[in-house]
Amino acid sequence: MKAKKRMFLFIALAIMQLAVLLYMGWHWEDILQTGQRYTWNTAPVDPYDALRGRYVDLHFKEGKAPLLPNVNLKSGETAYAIIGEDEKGYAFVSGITDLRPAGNSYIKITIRYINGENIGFFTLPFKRYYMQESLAPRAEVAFRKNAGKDSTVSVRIKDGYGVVEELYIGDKTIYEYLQEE
Amino acid sequence: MNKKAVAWLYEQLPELVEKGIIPGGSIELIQNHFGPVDKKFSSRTALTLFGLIGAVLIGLGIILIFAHNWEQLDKMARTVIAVGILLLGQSVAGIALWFKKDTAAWTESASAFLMVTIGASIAIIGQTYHIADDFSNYILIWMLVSIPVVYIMDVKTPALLYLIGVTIWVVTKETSDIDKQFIWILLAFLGPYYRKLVKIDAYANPIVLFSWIFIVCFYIAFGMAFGTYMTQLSFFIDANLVAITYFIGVLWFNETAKIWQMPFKVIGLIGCIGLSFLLTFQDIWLSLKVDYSSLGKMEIVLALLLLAITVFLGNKLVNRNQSRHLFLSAAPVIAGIGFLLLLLDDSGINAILLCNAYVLSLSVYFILRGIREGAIGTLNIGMLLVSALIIMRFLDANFSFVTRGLLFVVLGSSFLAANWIMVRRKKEVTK
Repeated sequence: MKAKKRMFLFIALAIMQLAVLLYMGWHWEDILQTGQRYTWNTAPVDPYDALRGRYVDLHFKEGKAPLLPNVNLKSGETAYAIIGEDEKGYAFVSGITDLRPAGNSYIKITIRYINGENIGFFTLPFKRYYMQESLAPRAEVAFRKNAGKDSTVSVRIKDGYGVVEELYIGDKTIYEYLQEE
Repeated sequence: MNKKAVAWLYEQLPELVEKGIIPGGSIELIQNHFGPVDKKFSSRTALTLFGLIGAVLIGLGIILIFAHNWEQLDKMARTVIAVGILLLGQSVAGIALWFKKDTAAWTESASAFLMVTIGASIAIIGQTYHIADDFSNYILIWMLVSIPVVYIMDVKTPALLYLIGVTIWVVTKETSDIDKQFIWILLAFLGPYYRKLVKIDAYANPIVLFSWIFIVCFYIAFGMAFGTYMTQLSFFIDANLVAITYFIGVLWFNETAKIWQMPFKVIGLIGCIGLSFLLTFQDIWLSLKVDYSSLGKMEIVLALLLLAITVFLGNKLVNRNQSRHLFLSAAPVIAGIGFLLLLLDDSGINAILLCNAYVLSLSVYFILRGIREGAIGTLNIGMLLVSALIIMRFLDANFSFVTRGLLFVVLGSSFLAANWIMVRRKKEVTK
């Protein structure tokens, strides 16, 4: 390969890499701006990711839902969780289907397993909230102290993807709460 | 070419001329033939290695600094930083490509740095939007946007990182087995580059290292992609896989004296012998529970395909008059016949008799060859194998004491008889 041609290919590759990165950023920003907001009950704990730092791990009560009638799914397959809201305004998964539903109130999930009663088990994909490394453990302590009170997370959802917007203890955001402390 | 041997030869040349063994003009002819001995070899390697380690450390440092998750930075600032880090890596690599294309220390370090910065920038975007996307997706995107670097910059380090990366992907991917088959396409992306490296010099250090890691990664990928399909034929399939590895080693990577430079041969042989040894246990055969009707289609296709490759390569070996290697790598034959014997009687007695006889003859072969060639290493392999076999069978509760006792007495006697015959022959020869 000639030096010029090589350089040309390299620049093309560099542009492609930048485009992939910017697309990822835009994709999530768009969901955050225009997605529908849902509030989920959660119980966070604080783990650690070597590459992306410390985060608060969100444990949802919603880890399972019934499969809709005539839906055939196996563990490991991609499915869609249909989101509903209860009388208090909290989101929950009302059912699982294998076809992309209309509207915006669904989230793409991977089925972990399905039990004998056609209940599908899954992990909601927005299960992390990255925080500064010194704050994440404090946030976890705060959540534990307030056990029983409402700890919630607001999530923006669009086209089957969800982005975590903010973490709340009662009606305060986690940052407000830690500041007051 | 053995560089040490050439260096030694050059040292000897003046003395040979002095003694009149070769004419004076020959020195130049010989030196032209072998070319100069590269004395800077070690310092150049060290330069490349230190450059690489430095570049990777800086890249990893950047990842850690941003993993701190600075709350002062808003989303815009984070995105700018992510793009900035990527541009930094691209610039360093671009400069190396334009100005220092022929200096391995530069291109290798710069491309490794670029690869780490790609991972860092994707991680920052992920962190900004709290993406909990499974780890395997993150790795996959990282690897896919990195692989062209290998070809454009003609660099080995990113190729190695890519190989490890896609293996991590197939291990961490939590999804159906169909999706995991994508690993073969991912590995194939590396094929042309690996082929090119092997053609240039299959025994150069980086390529040998690459081969070792490649075989291990390939085995892991194979297990991850097909593991759930393999039930009764698993040993047969594994035996074919290791035998194919050994055949590849004998056919195409066999022109060197150093063992560590022959990864295919070494891993293949260890696999063949290890698997054969494993099959001498009755419990292994009992656990198979042969049942024709429950054999999966995928399993049968896989077994037949691998068998076809084994036969094809084995045939090549025979054509090249290297059929003695077939005996060392008979694991597929043993596993296959054992499986068929298991159909006749499900106690597995016939199958383990066959396997024990094979491993015993294998160890005798190593011992005899070790004695004949005066190679202590080969002799020890044989001794180790026979000792392991004896200990395992002595402790084997699947046979009655009397059976084991009789067998041991017969075996012991035959060893002594063989010894006696050898001593007598030796005496006859010396007479």
